[in-house]
Amino acid sequence: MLFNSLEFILFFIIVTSLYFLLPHKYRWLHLLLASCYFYMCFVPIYIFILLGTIVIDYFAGIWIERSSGTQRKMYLVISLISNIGILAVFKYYNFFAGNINFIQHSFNVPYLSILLPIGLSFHTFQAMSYTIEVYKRNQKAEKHFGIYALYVMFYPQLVAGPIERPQHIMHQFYEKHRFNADDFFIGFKMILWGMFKKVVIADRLAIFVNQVYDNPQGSPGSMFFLAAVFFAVQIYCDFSGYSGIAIGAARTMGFTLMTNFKTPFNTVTVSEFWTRWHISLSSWFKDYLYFPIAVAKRDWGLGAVVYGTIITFLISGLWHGAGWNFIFWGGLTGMFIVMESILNIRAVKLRKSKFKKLAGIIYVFSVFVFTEIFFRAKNIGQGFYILKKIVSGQWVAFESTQVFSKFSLLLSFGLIIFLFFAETKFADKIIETKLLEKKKTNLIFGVAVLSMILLLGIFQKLSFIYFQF
Amino acid sequence: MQLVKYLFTVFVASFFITGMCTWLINKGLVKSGVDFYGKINAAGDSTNQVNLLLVGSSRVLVQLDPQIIDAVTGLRSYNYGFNASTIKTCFNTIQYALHYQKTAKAIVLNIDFNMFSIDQDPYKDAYYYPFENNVPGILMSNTGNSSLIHKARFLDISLYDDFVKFAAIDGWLRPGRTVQGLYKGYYPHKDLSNYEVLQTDSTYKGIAPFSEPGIKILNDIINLCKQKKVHLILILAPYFKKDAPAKYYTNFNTIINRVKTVAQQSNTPFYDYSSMAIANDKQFFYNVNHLNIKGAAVYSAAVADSVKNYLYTNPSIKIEH
Repeated sequence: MLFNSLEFILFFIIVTSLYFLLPHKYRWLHLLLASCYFYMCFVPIYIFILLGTIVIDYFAGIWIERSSGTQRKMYLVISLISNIGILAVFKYYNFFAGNINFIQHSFNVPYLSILLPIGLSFHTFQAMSYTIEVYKRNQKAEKHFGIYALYVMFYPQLVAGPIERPQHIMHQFYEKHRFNADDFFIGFKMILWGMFKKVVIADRLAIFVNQVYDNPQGSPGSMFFLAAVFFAVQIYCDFSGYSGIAIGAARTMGFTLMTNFKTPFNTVTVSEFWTRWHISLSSWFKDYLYFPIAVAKRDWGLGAVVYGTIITFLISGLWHGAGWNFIFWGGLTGMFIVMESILNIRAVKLRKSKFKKLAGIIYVFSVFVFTEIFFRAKNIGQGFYILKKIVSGQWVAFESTQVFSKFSLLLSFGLIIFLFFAETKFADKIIETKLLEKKKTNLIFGVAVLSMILLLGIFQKLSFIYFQF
Repeated sequence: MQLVKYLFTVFVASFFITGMCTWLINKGLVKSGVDFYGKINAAGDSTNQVNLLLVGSSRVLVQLDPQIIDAVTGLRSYNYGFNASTIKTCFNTIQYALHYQKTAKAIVLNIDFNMFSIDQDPYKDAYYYPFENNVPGILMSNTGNSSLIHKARFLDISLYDDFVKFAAIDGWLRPGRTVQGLYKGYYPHKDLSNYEVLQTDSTYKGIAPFSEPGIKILNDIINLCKQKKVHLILILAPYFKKDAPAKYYTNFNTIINRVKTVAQQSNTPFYDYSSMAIANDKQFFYNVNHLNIKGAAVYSAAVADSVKNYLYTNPSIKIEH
């Protein structure tokens, strides 16, 4: 069930209404059943994989809390291995098999014909953060199996995050939420804005991007350049749109999920960008991977930062997809951050001058466009092929095709400019205003955004890019 | 209460704006004079009556010249070819045109081996006939939820892609505009210099998409023509023989033979031009599937001749000019 579907709107209305109609003691069960149904709308059988990891991590949490010394560590390792093991089988097995077969043909490792369970990387990481936090004694082990299951499966963030921490969300399942008009009002506006980004901008740009990337031989350099720029905006609108809907849907029921995007294109360094892009994943990697590496290698000085950053981003690349292009993408991004560390390029310094700030914004966006070429390409070879085409000088004027016209192009540019203007100037401020504040502004915002969704939306039920991770 | 008031106002105001825009777009489409809507509007123009409809994909659009056909047959024809149209598109076009073109006597329908997979129809009827209330059966299948949405008229806008919106704006801005470079819907490939090679891998073998519902629609077209007392003539346009799709698609002959059987069972004439003399000569082709303007002239004359012979030598057929 996609957020941008009629089914979801019905599901959301029913689940939210029932949530407030039911007595508090049954609400967790209601949310858990709704989340199970939501997940089973994709591939029903995969609920058992999720159930398996939930059972393992639930008991691992309790045993970690009760034990000490090496036994405590052992339970953590069991939990981590089972989570990473499931990821390895479903997401990475065929990738590794392919690489082994490529290196040594005689091995002939068989491939598995399995679909990747939806949102596997997200709920696996969320589950891992629970056992790690219990191990670090930052979180008490959850004794209520249903609440723990809900922590992993809470439907708004189940398939594409935000990847929550137990300290932030777990206690909210125990809190008695009365219907709060302000929360519902703010949540509704978040959903509207998320839908706008997804169906009006991301899905429109996707038509052009898919057309170019699906036909690399037949597209000239200028089209690839445009597709690369569009993809950068598409992936932002797609993912931040999803996060907005998820956070908004949770907010209508009184739950607060962590912010996942904070105007990332308004940043002046790549390091700053990654503190505002997919924040829940970036902070996960920072806390559980980068800091432990940097602390362990602290004697290396700047070397520890370089080493920690590169390893973190390589693994982040692998998290995004089982392909060398993703690893390469991660490595490239890490290199830019390392370069900024070595050259001591700091966002605070750049922001002091208007010119440097503008140059920084252009630099960050350009780096993002450049690295995302490898993210979107089918493999590294195609990524370099596209780059070669872009710099080859094969630039031709835009021609309308059967799926994307000059009118669509103009509309896309207009919408992108509107989006960035709105996000830097007023969107967040309006969304966060309460029901009785700025009534006129809120009314205009609601009518304008909903009208744009209805008038300019692409209603082809295109899936969210991050669902594949 | 404030929240309910807010939500109510937002939804009512947005739906009102949407409804107004839908109305404006539908009006604009009716005024459009170019591309798809230009032709559809020509078909719905009862003051411009024709009696021979040329229907099919780009292999009609760029290959059948109404001027030549009219000169040979003495009829008034119009080219209703649309790029990449499937049998479903053809059925919609025929239904639509026959509803308004009361003098229509015959239809020439070009058969393509890949037109029977209706799932791949780029012309979803709810998208392309949204302004149409009068033709029963246009909004009947393969649009899924779209046709349901269409019933809620004012939400039609959710069915329109950017092309439709642009066509509507164009219709409003330039209502008197005629189709540039088109003569009665004909849009030939005028470039004679380049033969565009589409299939380079001579070892390629594939299966053309095909579905049984596509054949059912062909039967529906045959039945509709019988019901409306319009003569249906099926044709198969030439392919450049050296690169012909029959070499690459293993089910090419099966599909064409299937159509021939349907034609035979329903007493519908089927003229196969796939191997006519010009099919061996590259100078007549724009690419393997399409003739250039020179080839189109030769081919149009051949089709016109067959149509004339069929219509005038058949004693049961009376054509009024």
